[in-house]
Amino acid sequence: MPVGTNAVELLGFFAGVDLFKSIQKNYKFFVTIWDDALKASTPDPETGPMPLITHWHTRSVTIPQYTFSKEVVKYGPIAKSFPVMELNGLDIAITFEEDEFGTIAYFINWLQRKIIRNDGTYRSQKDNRVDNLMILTEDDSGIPINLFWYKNVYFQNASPATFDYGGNESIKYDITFGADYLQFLPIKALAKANIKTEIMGKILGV
Amino acid sequence: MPNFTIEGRLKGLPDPQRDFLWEVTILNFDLGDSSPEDLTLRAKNISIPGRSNEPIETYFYGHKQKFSGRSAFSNQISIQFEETEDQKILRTFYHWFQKINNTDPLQPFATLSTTLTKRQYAKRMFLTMYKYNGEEVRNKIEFVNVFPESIADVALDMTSNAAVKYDVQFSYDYWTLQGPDRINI
Repeated sequence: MPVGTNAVELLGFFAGVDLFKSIQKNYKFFVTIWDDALKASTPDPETGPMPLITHWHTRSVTIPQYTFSKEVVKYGPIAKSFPVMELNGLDIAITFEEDEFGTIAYFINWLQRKIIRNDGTYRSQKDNRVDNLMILTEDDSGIPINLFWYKNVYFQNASPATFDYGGNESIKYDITFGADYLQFLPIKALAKANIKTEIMGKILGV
Repeated sequence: MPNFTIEGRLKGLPDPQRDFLWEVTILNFDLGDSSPEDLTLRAKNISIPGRSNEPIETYFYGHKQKFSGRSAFSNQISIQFEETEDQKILRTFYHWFQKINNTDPLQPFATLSTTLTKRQYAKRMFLTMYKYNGEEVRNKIEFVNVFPESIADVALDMTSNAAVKYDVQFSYDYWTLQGPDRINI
């Protein structure tokens, strides 16, 4: 690197202005789950209304991404590889903290009853899932960073809860959801990328 | 002409704040036959609470920098109370603990809390400090959602000659600085 380049890099690292180094905190997020039935105020007659899941019911969330595998075509010793989408649905893991209303246990039961009836018959695809699960991440100022919006979310499994006479902690459930697809909105990064592209375009005269 | 003399500069300096001019008051008090004043009079020492920003480290090219992470409070504050012969301190805190979780098998509420929510057993507590002339200093400290965590054992000693004192450790969620300029702090 030319002399001085590293100094500029280090200056950017320490500068602390918006376009330079910052870190996203892993505790700045909100998880919102809602069924479109809530919006229409018409609960599913078979399952009853969706329980009210507040933001503080969520303790942690793991966000899945689309994954790709590699398909390789060989031309003699040379390999040409192609990415191939490997999507078997998206698995979202959320840890919920139970309240004294038993909201989360009811939520699990409600999600299960969306999939299968008491008589063992399955419900249709359009009825067996929650319409929306959104994870909004924020910066220190409360400005949204990203929105991960999972659509057609359904229950896969929940960890067993342990009740313990020798214990002294809250009941938590690790629930794994499946989702069909993700709508991703890169709020801040997109704005920054646009600005950077414009500036670089002007500098380079393109 | 600026005044560079030590005497001139000290003239504008207020008195030092004395560490014995304070009182602690617990609000929304509904604990047996005690009043907030009973505890205020018997509280003998307390600390001004601390606060921290837990840093997050990040590295680049062998260099480290820190960003402020989550805010943290100690979430605990200790107060020493001097007991009187009416046992106000022992009875008040016994009542408070029983209200949170009744452990007396001979009472109908045994194993239960007689409160429905945390809001009913957690109190607001103010630490008010005073000037030497008796006026309040500008800001007081409010501890939010206070409830007792523990009362330390108290040694009784035939060979000693001292008042009975209880060290009570309280839990709180956070504290704020209250005063006329709260918004601007």
